[in-house]
Amino acid sequence: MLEARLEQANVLKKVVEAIKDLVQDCNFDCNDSGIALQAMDNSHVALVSMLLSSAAFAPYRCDRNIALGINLGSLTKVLKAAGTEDWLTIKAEDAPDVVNLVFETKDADRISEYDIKLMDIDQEHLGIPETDYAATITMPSVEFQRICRDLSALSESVSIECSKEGVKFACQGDIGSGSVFLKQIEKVDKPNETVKIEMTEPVSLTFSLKYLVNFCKATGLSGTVQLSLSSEVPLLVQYDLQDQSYLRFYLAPKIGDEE
Amino acid sequence: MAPRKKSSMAAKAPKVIKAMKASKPIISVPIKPQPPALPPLRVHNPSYHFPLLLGDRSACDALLGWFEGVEETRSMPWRKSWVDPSDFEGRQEELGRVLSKRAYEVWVSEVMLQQTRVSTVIPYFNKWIAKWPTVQDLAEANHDDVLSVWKGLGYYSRATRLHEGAKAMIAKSSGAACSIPSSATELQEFPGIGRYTAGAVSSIAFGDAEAVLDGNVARVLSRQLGLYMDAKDKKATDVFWDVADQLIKHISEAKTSAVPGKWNQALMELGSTICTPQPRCDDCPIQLTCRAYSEGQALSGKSRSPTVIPDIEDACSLCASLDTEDLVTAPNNAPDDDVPRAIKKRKATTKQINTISHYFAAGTPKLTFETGGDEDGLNSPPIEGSRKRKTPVSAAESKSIITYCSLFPKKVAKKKVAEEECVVCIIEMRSSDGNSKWLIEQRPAKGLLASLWQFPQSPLSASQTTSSQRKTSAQKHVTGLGIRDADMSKADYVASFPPLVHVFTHLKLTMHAYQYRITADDAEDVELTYKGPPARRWVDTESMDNETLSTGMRKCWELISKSS
Repeated sequence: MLEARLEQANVLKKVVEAIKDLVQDCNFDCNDSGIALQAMDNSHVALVSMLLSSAAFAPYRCDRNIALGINLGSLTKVLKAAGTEDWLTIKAEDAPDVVNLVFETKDADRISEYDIKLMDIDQEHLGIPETDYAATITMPSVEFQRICRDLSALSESVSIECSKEGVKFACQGDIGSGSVFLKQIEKVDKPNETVKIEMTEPVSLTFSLKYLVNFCKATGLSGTVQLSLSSEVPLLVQYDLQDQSYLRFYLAPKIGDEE
Repeated sequence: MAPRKKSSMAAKAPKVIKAMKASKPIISVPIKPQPPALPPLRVHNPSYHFPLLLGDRSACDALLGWFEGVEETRSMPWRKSWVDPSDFEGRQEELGRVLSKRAYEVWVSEVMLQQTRVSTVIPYFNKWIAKWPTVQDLAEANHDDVLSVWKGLGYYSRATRLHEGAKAMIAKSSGAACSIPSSATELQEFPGIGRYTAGAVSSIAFGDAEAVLDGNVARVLSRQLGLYMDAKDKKATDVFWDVADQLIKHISEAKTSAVPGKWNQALMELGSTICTPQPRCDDCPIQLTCRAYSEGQALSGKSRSPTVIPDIEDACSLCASLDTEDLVTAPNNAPDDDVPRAIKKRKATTKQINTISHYFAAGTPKLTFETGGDEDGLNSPPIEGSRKRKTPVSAAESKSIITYCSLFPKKVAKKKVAEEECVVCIIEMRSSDGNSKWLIEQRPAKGLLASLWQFPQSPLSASQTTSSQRKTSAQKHVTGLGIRDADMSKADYVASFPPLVHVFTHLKLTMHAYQYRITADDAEDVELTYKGPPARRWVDTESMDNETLSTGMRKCWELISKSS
């Protein structure tokens, strides 16, 4: 059986909130190392990969590998009932029909319990190859969100150009063009405002802004975001969570005549 | 009326029998080996198209060997091993009987396979052979039975001609042991047997070195020769027949043997399974002698050889110039495409979405989670260690070669199919005891769906587009049928049905079905058949399934069965 207690229901709330527009139904794969999720959006352009490591839960117990097929819409509805500061316990049998969620207030004077019926979801797992990215940009997640939102007003796609000097987000649309350039900058006192670029070669790739704006719904999960790029590979947008957990989005680049 | 000359089969047949004798080949033997012509100009002289297979015995053997390996896989009931007359143990009449049956099976299968898929043909073939196991049986069959067994297979004139051919053969053979002649020239004298069918029967059943050329073989040859022409062009078919003939003469040593049949079937099988419009070149046994393949290779830059510019006087006059637009879209983009068809799609939509599955391999086992202290999570995403992101260069290259090969033979824009609409009047006669009979009529003996039965119908003109116009037209048709005993003007309109679309090769027919009902007080008195023309009959609901209705009519009938 599975029993996993999360100190803050808010983490799961935000994760589900961030991906529910990309993915409708998906399997939460539970094993002794944690709870993981991998799913593509309907058009197979983007892929979501999440891991809530066992270290994020206390206690964490999972005797056998279980796949919990959940409709994210239903999960959102139930999670609405949880207070942000509540403890959240996820429970399931070994061959479960339902997943059981328990919300407890900090002083344990209110306990609410919900069961969500599970679904059988036939999901393909994609093998994500190990990639030495040509460039990795670490930046404030709020900044990334703002850039995506601003540029999406002009165009459907953005080119991300990374060089030694910094990173440039540029777009061209019917009404005009726009670009945002970020210089590499280190703020020792405020690590969350640091823009750091690690690169082996300059890269320039074009991506759909609609998807990036969607990924930015995860902004609340982490102060920083990492963008990893290499030519002819999907972009990796990673939000690090506490305790070796993460939420990753992969996005296929736009090719040649796609615009 | 002036007496018409009766054309007898024995005397000069009215149709032109294609020459089977080897004349001077269209493509001459090249003086020296020629390197692949480089796209896009493809400068080459006519002898470039000399089939490389002729000089490469091992490639020919490879094709035959390949065919022996796949011969059984599609389990076609008409594929049987060749009956060698010299090995035959039994009396001469017995041999004649066996050969005749074999030839008959090949003939029936080849006629059925024209324009029709193997999987569709198999059940029809089995049913046909079970009903008429020999030519003799078919010759004696009732024409309506022949049509009813063919029902659903399409191109009904094939059945008619098969039947006529059988009758002519029996009439001519007058009791000989083998009623089917073995030579392709003689075979072509019978109705429904053209050069292709004659070649197939002669080579497969009798082991004669006779060539076949169908769409599949033409595609294989077009690529083997590097001939960039419309395969249906007369000049192109002349070349293909000529080459196919040279090849089969070259490959078969003995006067008759199993080889010609095998060779012809191998070419057809290759064309229908490997050398398809989007070919699978990597599996092709005769890749090495393929001009299109080597041109594709040259194009992708692997085996570039010096270009020789021959005198313009010597240049090939057969090949069309390569469509440069195709060339640009094809090899350059091919490596990006997972499916070769993507090119077609791109042309239509000019928009193609790059997907994540392009990069990440599907179907791998579940991800492994990292739990240990992982400082730089970025460089080690959850992975299957052995998976490499990039496809090997050779795969991309072979894809671009395949795309290049798929340009052959030259495509021509299809004519738009004509569209027609008609009203179908399904008239029910209900007697007082509650039984129903339905009116059907026979189509003319010539033309589309010849002699098949249908519900009375009338074509709509282009101006009759509204439902009320259609209904008026249906009503008029019903009233005008002129059936004795039953007063059609009293026919009550019962229902109309959503339009049904039936697509023939050259025609898209939209059928608007209307149901009418007349009540007969004393059904016994009503005459049930009318000689016509058109011949008409009233048929019981239960026996409708046994009538020779076309597929389109059957769809209409289903509407009625469903609604009641």
